[in-house]
Amino acid sequence: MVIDVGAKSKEEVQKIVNIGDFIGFDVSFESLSDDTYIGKAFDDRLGCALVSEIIKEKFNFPLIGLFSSQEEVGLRGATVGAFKYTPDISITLEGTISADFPDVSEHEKCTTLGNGPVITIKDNSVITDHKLREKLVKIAERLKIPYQFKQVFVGGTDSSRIQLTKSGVKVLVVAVPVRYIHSPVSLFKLSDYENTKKLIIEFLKSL
Amino acid sequence: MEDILEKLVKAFGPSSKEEKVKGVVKEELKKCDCEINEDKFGNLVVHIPHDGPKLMLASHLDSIGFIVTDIDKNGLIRFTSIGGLRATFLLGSRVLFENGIVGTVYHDDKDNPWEPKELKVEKFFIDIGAKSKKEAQALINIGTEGIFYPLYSRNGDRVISPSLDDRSGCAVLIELVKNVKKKNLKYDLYVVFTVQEEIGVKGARTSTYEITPDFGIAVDVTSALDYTDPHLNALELGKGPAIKVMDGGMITNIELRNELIEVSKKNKIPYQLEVITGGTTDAFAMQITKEGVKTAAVSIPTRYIHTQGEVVDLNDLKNAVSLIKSFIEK
Repeated sequence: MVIDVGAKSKEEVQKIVNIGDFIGFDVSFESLSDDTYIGKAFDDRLGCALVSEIIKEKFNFPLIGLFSSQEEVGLRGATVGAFKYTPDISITLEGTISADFPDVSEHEKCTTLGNGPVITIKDNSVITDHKLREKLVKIAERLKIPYQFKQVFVGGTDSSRIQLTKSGVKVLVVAVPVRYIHSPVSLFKLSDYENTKKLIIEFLKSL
Repeated sequence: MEDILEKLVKAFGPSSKEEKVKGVVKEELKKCDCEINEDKFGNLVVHIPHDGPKLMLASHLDSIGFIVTDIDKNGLIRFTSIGGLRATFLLGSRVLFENGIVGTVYHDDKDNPWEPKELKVEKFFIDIGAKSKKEAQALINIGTEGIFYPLYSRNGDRVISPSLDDRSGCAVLIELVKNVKKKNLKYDLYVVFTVQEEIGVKGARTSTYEITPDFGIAVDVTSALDYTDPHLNALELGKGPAIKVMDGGMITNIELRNELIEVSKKNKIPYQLEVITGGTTDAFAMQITKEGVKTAAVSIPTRYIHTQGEVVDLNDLKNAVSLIKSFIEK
């Protein structure tokens, strides 16, 4: 792949771009309907938005919101962040893959938009804590919050590093389903986001 | 030894669901003069307090396994692997789920229904004999874990069974704890039965952090390729436990390794030296915990690792017990 910046020569480009310059997608955040939004970086700005909102609530214990750096290049920020704060429990909030397209067989869709928060049982790097996950599911069922389990157990999150901090940390992973993840035009449903927020807040209040 | 090994391999225990294997270990060690505790991460820690430096021995409780990802409209179960399931060895194998349900593994290659071309776990499914999605859902959920059906058989000194990785190591450590003479101990001894080794050497990391030993020895299986001609590595069944020099994750501590070799020679215990390029054990994690731990590893040579029919020689397990016992006693 190449990026054409409209320059006529190498010299002209070198005036405006250097080796090592970082490049992002130039996409605006837009709504397609009341419930559907498109934009870039929903993995994991949706998680960041969730943490920003959840941290404002009152809980019976100290809550640390870690906005971790360098996850995409090897879970690096979470590794040191978890070491510094040594939590008892950790919940990783994410935007996760949805491949709910017509030509994908049921078991390979991973997650489905609109079906609620995605609860990870296992991915490439972690099996989440069975007891805490069961508690989370019970709360979702009691409050009639829709939820789904991640069907294709791929990908990895900060949780794998957080889990192995010091003597170990109990971890959960909850995510908002996102189509076309890691592309310039990802898409999610606000209802999934709101339900994720509600579920996490209720779960934290139950601890 | 045979009885313990049989009980251990028959216990259900894929990564993160090791409770039943822990139960077997606790039952076996209930009369031993030691403290048994489960740590925060789920590792079973057996402590025999004694004067001397801290030595941590580790074998992992968990086996590789299956985990349900979806149930299709026909009641067939889609799954993925826990740890390194080898796709080539899955078709036709029997799966035992945590609730006792048994299934058989088949594939959905529409163009090649007799012999599949694409050996990918995503193309396989498990048939548990359910007639519909509803019937299957009553028995199995997304996230239900399974193992190779634990068919155990023994022919003389050799055992054929799944999960010998690493119930062999667990059997060695149980036998060791039962037979160790406390008054002769040179070490403050921690014997750790670790969890979640197969999905990233996890339990060893957290337990080593907690214990902070001076020395560590992992007991696990290693791949004996003695069935190839020429041999692809120098490990053979029945020729004694292997003292690890190197594997895919680490080089063992030279002093500790040499001490193990000296102990073998002095006590006329057969041993082999292990140099392999792939795979690793709990020793990998122990070695680099905190500021570092002098770590060695003793391996049970094993054929066909991560298949339903792993093979070990019981003499290698017995000699591993003798070797480690001689190492830790005055």
